[in-house]
Amino acid sequence: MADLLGDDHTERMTTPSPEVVHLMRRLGDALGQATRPTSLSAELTRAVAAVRSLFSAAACSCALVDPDGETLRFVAADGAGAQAIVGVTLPVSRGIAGWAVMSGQSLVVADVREDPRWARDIGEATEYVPETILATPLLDETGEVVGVVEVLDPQRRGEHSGFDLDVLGVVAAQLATLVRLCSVYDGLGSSLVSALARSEDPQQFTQALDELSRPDETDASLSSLANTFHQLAQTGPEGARLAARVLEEVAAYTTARR
Amino acid sequence: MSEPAWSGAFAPSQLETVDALPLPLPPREWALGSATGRGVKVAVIDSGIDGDHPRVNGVAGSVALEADPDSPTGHRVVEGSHEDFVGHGTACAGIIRMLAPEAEIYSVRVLGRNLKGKGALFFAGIRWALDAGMQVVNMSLSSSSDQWFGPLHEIVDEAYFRSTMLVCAVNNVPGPTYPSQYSSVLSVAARQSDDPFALAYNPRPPVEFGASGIDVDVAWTQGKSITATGNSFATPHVAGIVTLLLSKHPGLTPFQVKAVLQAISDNAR
Repeated sequence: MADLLGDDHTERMTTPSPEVVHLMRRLGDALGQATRPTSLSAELTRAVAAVRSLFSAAACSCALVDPDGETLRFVAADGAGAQAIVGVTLPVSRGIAGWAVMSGQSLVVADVREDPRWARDIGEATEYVPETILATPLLDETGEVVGVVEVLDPQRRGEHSGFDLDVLGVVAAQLATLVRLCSVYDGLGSSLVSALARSEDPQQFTQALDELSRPDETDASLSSLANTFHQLAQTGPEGARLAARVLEEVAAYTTARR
Repeated sequence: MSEPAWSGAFAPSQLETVDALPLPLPPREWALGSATGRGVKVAVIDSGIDGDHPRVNGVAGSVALEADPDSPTGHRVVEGSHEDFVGHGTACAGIIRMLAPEAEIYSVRVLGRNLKGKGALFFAGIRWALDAGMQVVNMSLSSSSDQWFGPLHEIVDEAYFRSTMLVCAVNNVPGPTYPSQYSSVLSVAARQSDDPFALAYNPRPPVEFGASGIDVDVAWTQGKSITATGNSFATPHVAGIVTLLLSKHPGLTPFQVKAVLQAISDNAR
C-alpha cells in the first residue's frame, strides 16, 4: 500500500494562521453582501404582494426563523395590518405561523378565533383579525424549516384547501431558495472557510474555526459598510463609481494617518 | 406540498394490492372486534397530555424527562401530572382513547414548548417506557440526528425483542429520521380517510403503514379541538389499533402484529 502523495505533499501544504483565516472570512462575507443580486426584504415584499393578489387575500406575510431557531421574525407583509406586523417577533412555539414552523406542515385554519394555536395578542395588535389563514413552511435543501408564508382571508380559492396549499407550497419553495441564496451570499466568507475546514484535517483548522465563531465588532461594521455600497451600486454605474471613489479616498486618507 | 412527506405512497393511485396472510373472516372483526384496549399500557412520548381534556378522559400516569446537568445521566425523571406544553400529546392521546377507550394511557413528556426536544431526553423516554412495562409506545416524533442513529437503533431492537410495539411517525418533511425508518418499528404516514380504523400497507418501505391523518379533528389545549394534518396524527390511529389487537390477542410479537395489520389493510387481499 503506498501513499502516493506522501510527505512531499504535506510539506508543501501551508496552514493559514487564524488571522488569515479570519480575514478571509470577513472579506468573503463583505464581498458576498456587496455583490449579492438582490435585497432579500425587497424581494420578499414583492413576493407577498403577488401572493396576496393571487388569492385576492386581505393580507399576506412572510416570517423567517432567526439563527437561534427559537424566534420567528416577520420580514415582509402586504395588505391589512402589514405595517404593524413587519418587524414583529414571536417564539416559534406561538401562533399559526409558529405551528407551521414547528410541525413543518402546511395548514388551513378556517376559524382563527376558535383555534387555540392562534396568538391572539399578536393578531389583535395588527388591528386585523382574519377568519381564515393559510400557512406553509419554507424548507431549505435539507428539510430544515427556515420560515413561513401566511395568507389571510383568501377570497379566491381552489376547489379544495389542498389545491390552495399546493399553490402556496410552490411559492414557498421559491422563497426558500431566495432565502438560501441570500444566506450564502451574506456568509460567503464563512462558507468558504467552513468548506475548507471540512475538506482538510479538522485539527489544522480548529483554531481558525474558533476564530470564525467568535463575535467581532469589526464584522458588524464591515457588514454595514458592504450593505451601504450594495445600495449605492444599485443606483447605477454612476453610484458605483462614486462608491469606489469614496472608498479609495477614505482608504488613502486612513493609510496616510497611520 | 400540502400533504406530509411520505404520504404520497398511500394515494389511491399509487397503492398496490398486497398479498396478506389469511386471517379468520372477516379479518378486522377477528383482529379487533369487541376489544376495548383493556389491560394494555400505552405510553405517549410527546409534549405531555392534558388528562382533563374530555377526549382524553384521564391518564394512568405521567412522567416528564427534564435536562439536569447535575445528574450523572444528564436528566431527571419527574413523576406526577403535568401540562401539555403544546397540545400535540393531547391530540395523540385523544385519538388513542377514541379507538381504545379502556387503554391505560401514560404521558411521557420529552418535548418542550417549541415542540423540540433533546435526543438524550427522547432516548430516556423510550428507556422509561420499556422499564415501566409499556406494551405500546406512540412516538409522533423522531430525530434527524446521525448522532442518535446507533443508540436509538439499539434500544429499539431491545423493544422489539421484548415485544414492545413502537409506533413511530415519519417526519412531515422529506429526509430520514430515526427511529421511524428502522424495520423493527411500525412506521406510519398520514393518508386521507374518514375511517379511523382504516389502514393501508405500503409494500415499498421504509414507511409501512398509512392511517387517517389529513384534516382530522383532534383534541388540543384549553379543552378545545382543532383540525390538523400530519403524520403525527396518523400514528396514534395505528397505536390505538395495535392496542385493541393486543387487548384481544395478548402476547403477539411485533412481526405478528405487523402481519395482522397488513391483513386488515384496505389494500390487502
